[in-house]
Amino acid sequence: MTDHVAPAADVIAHIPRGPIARFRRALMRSEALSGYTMLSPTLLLLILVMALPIVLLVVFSFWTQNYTDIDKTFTLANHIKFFERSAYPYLLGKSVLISSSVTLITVLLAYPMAYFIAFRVTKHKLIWLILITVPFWTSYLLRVFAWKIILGYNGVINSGLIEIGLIAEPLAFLLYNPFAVVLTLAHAWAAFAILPIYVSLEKIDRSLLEAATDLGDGRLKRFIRITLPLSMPGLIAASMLVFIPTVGDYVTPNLVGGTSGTMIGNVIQSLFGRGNNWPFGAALSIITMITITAMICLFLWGTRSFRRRVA
Amino acid sequence: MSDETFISIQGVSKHFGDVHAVDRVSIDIARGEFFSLLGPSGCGKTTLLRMLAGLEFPTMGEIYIDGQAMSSVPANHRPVNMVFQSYAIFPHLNVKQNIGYSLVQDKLPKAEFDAKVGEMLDLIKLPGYEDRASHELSGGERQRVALARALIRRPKVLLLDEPLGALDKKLREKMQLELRALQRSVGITFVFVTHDQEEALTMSDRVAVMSGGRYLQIDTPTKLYEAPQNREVADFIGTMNFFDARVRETIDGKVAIDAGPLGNLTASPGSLAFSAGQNSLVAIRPEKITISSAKPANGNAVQGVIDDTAYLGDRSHFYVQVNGVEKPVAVSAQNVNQSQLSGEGHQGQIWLSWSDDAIVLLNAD
Repeated sequence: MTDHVAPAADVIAHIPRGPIARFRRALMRSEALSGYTMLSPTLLLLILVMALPIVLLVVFSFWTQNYTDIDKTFTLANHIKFFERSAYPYLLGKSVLISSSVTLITVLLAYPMAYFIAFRVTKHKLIWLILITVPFWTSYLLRVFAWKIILGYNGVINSGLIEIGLIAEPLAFLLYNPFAVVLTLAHAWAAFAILPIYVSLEKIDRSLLEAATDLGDGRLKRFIRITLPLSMPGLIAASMLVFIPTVGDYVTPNLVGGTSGTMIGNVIQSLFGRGNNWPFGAALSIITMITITAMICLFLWGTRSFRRRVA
Repeated sequence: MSDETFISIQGVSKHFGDVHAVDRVSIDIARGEFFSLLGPSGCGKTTLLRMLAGLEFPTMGEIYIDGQAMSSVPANHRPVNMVFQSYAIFPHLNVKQNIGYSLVQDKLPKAEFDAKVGEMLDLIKLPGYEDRASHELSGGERQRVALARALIRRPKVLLLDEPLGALDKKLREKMQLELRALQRSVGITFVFVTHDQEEALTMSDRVAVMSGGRYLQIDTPTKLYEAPQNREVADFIGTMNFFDARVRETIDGKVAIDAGPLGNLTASPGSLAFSAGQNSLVAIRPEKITISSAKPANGNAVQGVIDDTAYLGDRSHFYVQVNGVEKPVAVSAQNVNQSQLSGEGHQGQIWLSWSDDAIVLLNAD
């Protein structure tokens, strides 16, 4: 080691000064600062288009709509109204139930697909992944209409079944009900479930599976004790990615749900539109949001206790 | 160690497409033996080990463990356990759950389960580690946990796939001794795969040196080092000086050779056969050659000039140019005295000498 030598005066004189140089030096020294600097565009956007509107929504929900103008005195009337009319909790419950079914079906169908790509496909994985996204190349509305054509009264299934003589009259229960909504949504959101599950499966070290086999596990036991717990992060991500947006969906129920397939999103949409009752719409939105959060918490708690039990 | 054959590998081949990873290998391993498969990467040693574990199945041939044919026994029903190169510690389980992983199939009461895991933790000298999460373990600790996990149900054979490769030098040397001691205490047959010859020589009862899917020689560490059977083994294990030679005649079990620049030599043929007029190879280990300034009174000697010196602490290496020999001759000498390092002061012409006993005579390929 050589002794520390103080820099000569002329070296010190050459350290650049001024605000930009000083900021640049601060960036180099502090990881937190450089992190926030990188985040700042996104952060700004999120505050503007997410946090602010949500705060506005909360504020709105405490106001009252008087025909064209809004009474800004604080009231809980909107929230109370939700619980007083059983139709609203029922609709919210139905929405949660439909979304839960969609989530369950989507994840159950997506898991084998993701498993196949992660473990069985050895060449051209990218092609398989691209194939999964192919449906997204057409508009969502077109895909919903495609389901209308498949499930409709004179649709593909009905005319096909009539053609081969299995039924005489078209089946009426295929379209305009919760079943059609679940089917359409499950198809639409499949890729969002396959990809996170695929990523979590792909990440599993293959020697862990070999070790489990070596230690006496058959295929099923190994799946339950190693593969499933280790793919849990992907499974949870997939479930949330499907569940959260589908609870509030209003396009799909509007097009294929009929009256029995109406969801909470349809009501919220009409309250902000034709119904012209923003405060009550806001209250419904907030209650829906809280319900979703509660459901997610319940789900996370459930999966955690599952992991502990398997271990 | 008994001589009874415990694992019998009979004419086993493994083909991956056109690649013959393992090519008609037959090896018998005795009960309680510490057996190593040594070779460079891609020599087929790991594939052979994986076939013993049941993680790969032979394209041809049969493996018998304790008299039982293994070709129809899946990995999870074999009486063998494996320590993986990456250790394969289950990240979502703690130390106790990892070590006790295979005990779940025995459906033991909790107290007995805990007792067995505790016993293993004592064995690997990590008592009290039950509740550690896997990510809290150091490399050496992971290696021990993997070892305990593989040993807890007392397999008939323990397979180890380069388990010490990821450890630093000091820890590796410590683990080599511990592993050896552990193997003696549990009395389980160990099959150990490594590319590190020092590791294989230190730990094993016998070593199979492998290359290109086949083995070149199976022998005790001493035999492999002192009496290699062919050039590849002699070259792979340690450092070796080779000199072209020609057999003059064989008398009384000794072989007289004409080693060109080294002059006429006499060597014992070992287990190899030689006939007069045959081309052969004289091989001498660097540490069996002595450097001196003056010509030794008797014995084999040749004159040379030191080309290069490497100081290694405990010993020094010299590379000596000898007239008529293409490559410099490697000589290794212990640095016994601090004040007078061997080789110092050797300038200009020096003499290299060796005994007849130091010569390994090989067939020229």
